Amino acid sequence: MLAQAATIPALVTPTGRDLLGLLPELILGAAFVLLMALDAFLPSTRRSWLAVVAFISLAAAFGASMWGWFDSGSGRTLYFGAFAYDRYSMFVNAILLVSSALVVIISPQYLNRRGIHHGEYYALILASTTGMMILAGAMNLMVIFLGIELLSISLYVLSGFSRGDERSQEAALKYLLLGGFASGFLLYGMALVYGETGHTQLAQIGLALRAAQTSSVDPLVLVGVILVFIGFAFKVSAVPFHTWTPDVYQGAPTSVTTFMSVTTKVAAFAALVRVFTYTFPYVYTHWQVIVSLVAILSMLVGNIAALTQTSLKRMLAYSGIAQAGYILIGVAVDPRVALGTIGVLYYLAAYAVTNIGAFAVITVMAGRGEDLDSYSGLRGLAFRRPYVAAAMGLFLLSLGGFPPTAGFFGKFFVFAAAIKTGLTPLAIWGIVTSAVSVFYYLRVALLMYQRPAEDEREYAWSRTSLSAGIVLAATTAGTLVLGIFVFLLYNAASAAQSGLLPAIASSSG
Amino acid sequence: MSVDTASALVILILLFPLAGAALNAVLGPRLGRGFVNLAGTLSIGAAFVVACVILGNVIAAPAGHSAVSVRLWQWLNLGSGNLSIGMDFTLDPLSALMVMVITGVGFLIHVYSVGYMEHDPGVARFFAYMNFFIFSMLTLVLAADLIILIVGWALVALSSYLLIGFWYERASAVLAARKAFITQVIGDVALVIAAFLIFLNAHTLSLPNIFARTAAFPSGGILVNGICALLAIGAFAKSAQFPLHTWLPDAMEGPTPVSALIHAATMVTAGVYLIARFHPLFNLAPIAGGMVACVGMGTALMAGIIALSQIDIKRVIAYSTMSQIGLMIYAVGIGAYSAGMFHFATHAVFKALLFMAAGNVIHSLHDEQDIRLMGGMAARMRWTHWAFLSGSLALAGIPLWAGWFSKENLLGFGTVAGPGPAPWLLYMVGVGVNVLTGLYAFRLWATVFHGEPQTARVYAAKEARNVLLVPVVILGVLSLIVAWPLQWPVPNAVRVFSDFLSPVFAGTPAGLASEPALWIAIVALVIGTLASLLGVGAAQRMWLHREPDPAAVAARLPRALPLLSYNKFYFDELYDAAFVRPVRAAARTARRVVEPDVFDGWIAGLTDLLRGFSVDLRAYQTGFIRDYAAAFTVGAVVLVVVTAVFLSR
Repeated sequence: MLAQAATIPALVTPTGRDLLGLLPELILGAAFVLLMALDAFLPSTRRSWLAVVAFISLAAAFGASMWGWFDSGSGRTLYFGAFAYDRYSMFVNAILLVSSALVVIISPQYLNRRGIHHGEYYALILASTTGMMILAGAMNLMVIFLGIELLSISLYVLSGFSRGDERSQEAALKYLLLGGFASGFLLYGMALVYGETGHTQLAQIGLALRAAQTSSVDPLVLVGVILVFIGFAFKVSAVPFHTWTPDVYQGAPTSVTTFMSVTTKVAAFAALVRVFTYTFPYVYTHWQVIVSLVAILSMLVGNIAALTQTSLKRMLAYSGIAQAGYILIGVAVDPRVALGTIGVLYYLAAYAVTNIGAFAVITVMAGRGEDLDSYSGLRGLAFRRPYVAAAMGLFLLSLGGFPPTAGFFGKFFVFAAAIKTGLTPLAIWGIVTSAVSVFYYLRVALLMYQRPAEDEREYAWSRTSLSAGIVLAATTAGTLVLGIFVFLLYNAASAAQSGLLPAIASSSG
Repeated sequence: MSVDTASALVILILLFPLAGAALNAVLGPRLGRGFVNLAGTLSIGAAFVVACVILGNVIAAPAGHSAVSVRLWQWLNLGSGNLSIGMDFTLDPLSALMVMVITGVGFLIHVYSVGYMEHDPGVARFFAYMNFFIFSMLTLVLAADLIILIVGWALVALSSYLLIGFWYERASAVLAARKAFITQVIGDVALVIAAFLIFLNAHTLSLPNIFARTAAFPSGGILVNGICALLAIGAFAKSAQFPLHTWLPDAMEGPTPVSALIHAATMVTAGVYLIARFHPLFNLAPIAGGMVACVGMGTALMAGIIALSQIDIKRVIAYSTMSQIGLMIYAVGIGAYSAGMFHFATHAVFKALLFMAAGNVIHSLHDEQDIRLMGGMAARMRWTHWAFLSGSLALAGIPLWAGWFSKENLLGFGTVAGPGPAPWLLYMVGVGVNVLTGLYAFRLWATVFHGEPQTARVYAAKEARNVLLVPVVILGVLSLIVAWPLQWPVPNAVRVFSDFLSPVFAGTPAGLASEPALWIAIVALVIGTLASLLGVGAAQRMWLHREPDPAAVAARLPRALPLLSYNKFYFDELYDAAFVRPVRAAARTARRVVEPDVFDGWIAGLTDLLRGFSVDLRAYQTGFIRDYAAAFTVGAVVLVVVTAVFLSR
């Protein structure tokens, strides 16, 4: 049922309004070029300046996103419908930019200590963040692909950033090959969807699906939808497309792991919600089972596999897989219920602040030349660095979903949405598996508060620097604020949800 | 007062103690004693100033507008009719009275603590806990949402636990803290179940909304009686009432300022506050109310008897606290809410005084608490002695002292209100409690301050320093005069206090809180006063002049009575036999028999299963890209097939 070719608009240049709406992305793009140029001129001892430039550009992009949030002219599309200029993308931008900025703050110290402080690091972080922001705002299948590739290619390089470290090289190669594999699935799914609806614009696809709804749905469209989902599931590391996650998280330098464990997931989920909940709601009954199935598997495998890990980074990788399962619950609920999307947004923000905090502890406590990765490295931390240990304990509680922390309300909202839409078994499954998760989170917390045995070597933690203090204080405060002043973020997430484009399904309550 | 003013006041009064706790916890150990003393006391002083402003605003409010509820923020909202929890707080005469007492008496006790904890190395921790307790207690009394109230309710239990076990290197302190906490949790569970039942029927947890929807609770029905009984169990645990009373005497393991603040003046009276706050429900529940009244009066009698024979100075005062709170619980049980609250207010003053004066004695005797080893302290601690005497007179209910006004006022209601066919019965018990109060109060006074010094330490005792003395003397004066302008036990005399609270309790039906006629009140007043005087006089004769000798009197009583009194009616032994030992035995049996044979099997099986599963999963994590790609492909094919075959119909 190839649709008749839409009238191709005459080749026109984008307007100034279009460019203005893309301001956050443009700022980061310009900063990327600037950083590459600067790196050529700066002496290698001054690399930290690059971090300052990167931070300033991230802050500027954040300011531009905030301006977009309050701009009354937002809530429209740019570039003939290919890109969304709505509060939803600004909300996601804010999470991404804050996360990147926190990573940039902790990076110089860590990279110096590992001896891998090269200038292109910051440029790559910015390029990747740009790709994520494009992904968050994409309203066209091709733009989605563009965003995914931009963020991925930068991450492939970043994963292998520790050039002398074989595991880092291996991680990069694995990520690259499997990422290419997943991109193939994604692209094939997009091709099927295009072939069946005749459109690449999300809004047009949604209308076409609505029109087709009266007749029976073509299986090929559904296969396309599922293949697109698989592409996203790879990016958010949901089971069974998660296999790369532990190896890559462990092999990559810890600051890179911090960055990608959070931002990739945020951006990919943002696009996933826009595509599935708001573009494909008319085939909801068909993909809901698949999403639920993947969610159930992710919660199960992620939590169970985390139980017997002895590496912090691998444990957090599996925990991230399980968290992806919880967030998928919010995607699986009926698109007509706003709480699902709000819950996803809340969860993403809560996950970002908590997970960055947890990884930041591992990053900033790392000793000279070696990563802080094994469980035994944390033993006794509470006696040497009481505040850092207390913060880490808080992050672990938040990951486990204890009130009054951010993580509790992330879970609360997606579970509530599931119960509201009759997916109670999914919520119960989530609660049961998070009970399992408490075991491996608290095990780490317990280690920090145990004294090392007499003959045991204590890990040589580095001193808590100012930059580390800032990041840990910010993430601690964020974890608590999102657990106590819930309305702040809830109202923002609600506003972001209400203006979400494409507005095909918004007429239904 | 406007909502904005009220919000600002609520934020300020909660923020000061919380900030004090945070500063003491984080900076205290580093900045040292001077900083800790300053931050610890000034935070409560500032809160007291705010409390005075609150009181002024509540008094100045026009009639009918004395209660202001503010919502600081919405914590949780799942849509109309669903769960909704707001950070809601209420300023009304009742909460204003509570914050005045908590911060006022609390401030004096904090000042006293500066001296009392002078040589303790953990002073920063101490003040952090104390400030945190004040914050928790204020949250509890200001809360206008049941969930927030429960949060405060649990936080005071936590602070109490931390402070009882403050000297954690003592095993007895740790055990006492644990006992207190476990007992509190029994009450917490009852309170939470009550909250569930309220929510199921009224569909709200906001206190003003609950009280506006009393139609949801049929009057006198099993539902409202059940809810009130559960609330009462919560109150009993918090206020150390029978049968959940055994933790309070043990709680004296904490430092003396803690006993004064938490286990005399404020936290233990939270149960009285809870019942007074929920009076719209208790008004509908005569059975639960009668139960409350009986338990209160029964506890008052029992604790009074026990106090007669205890030998630890702090435990005697602890039992007297239990007894006095019993009277308050009795008052709110019979619907005399403002009378109960009035006794709470005067009791906070004179009981905090008694504890702090006792603390001075203990301090000067180098931590001696056994009253048989004291005696003759009056000559050595003149000011402390006079203050203690003033507190004892107030406690015993001697005319013109504060306790007389509040206790006789309270008992006056007992002549006309009460549960069951014979409300007079409980009133008569109350008269008996008056006699007992006079007896144990002056037994303590005479044994500690008069007679021959019993040890060499007494001869070396010196008067306490000013920082320990000034708060005691201030409270000593207040114990005399505080009630004069507020409330007299004769109807239509001075009644500032009950008029102040009357907007809160306006809905109370006449049958519950009706005042006695003038002549009944006067007769009751005379009887009650005579009973108090009788108790004091008898105590003077027996323990001051030794004629008759108290030992001889005890010998002439039935043998069971002194034994029961001295052994605290064997409640600890009873609970030990009824709960602790069976549970321990069951646990041992389970450990020996049930667990290995029954549970270990399948629990080990389950954990083995999970661990095995986990290890299996690791086996799939081969590290080879070809395996990962294969897993990916299999997963994708399965999903596509599932979709294409099963779902596209």
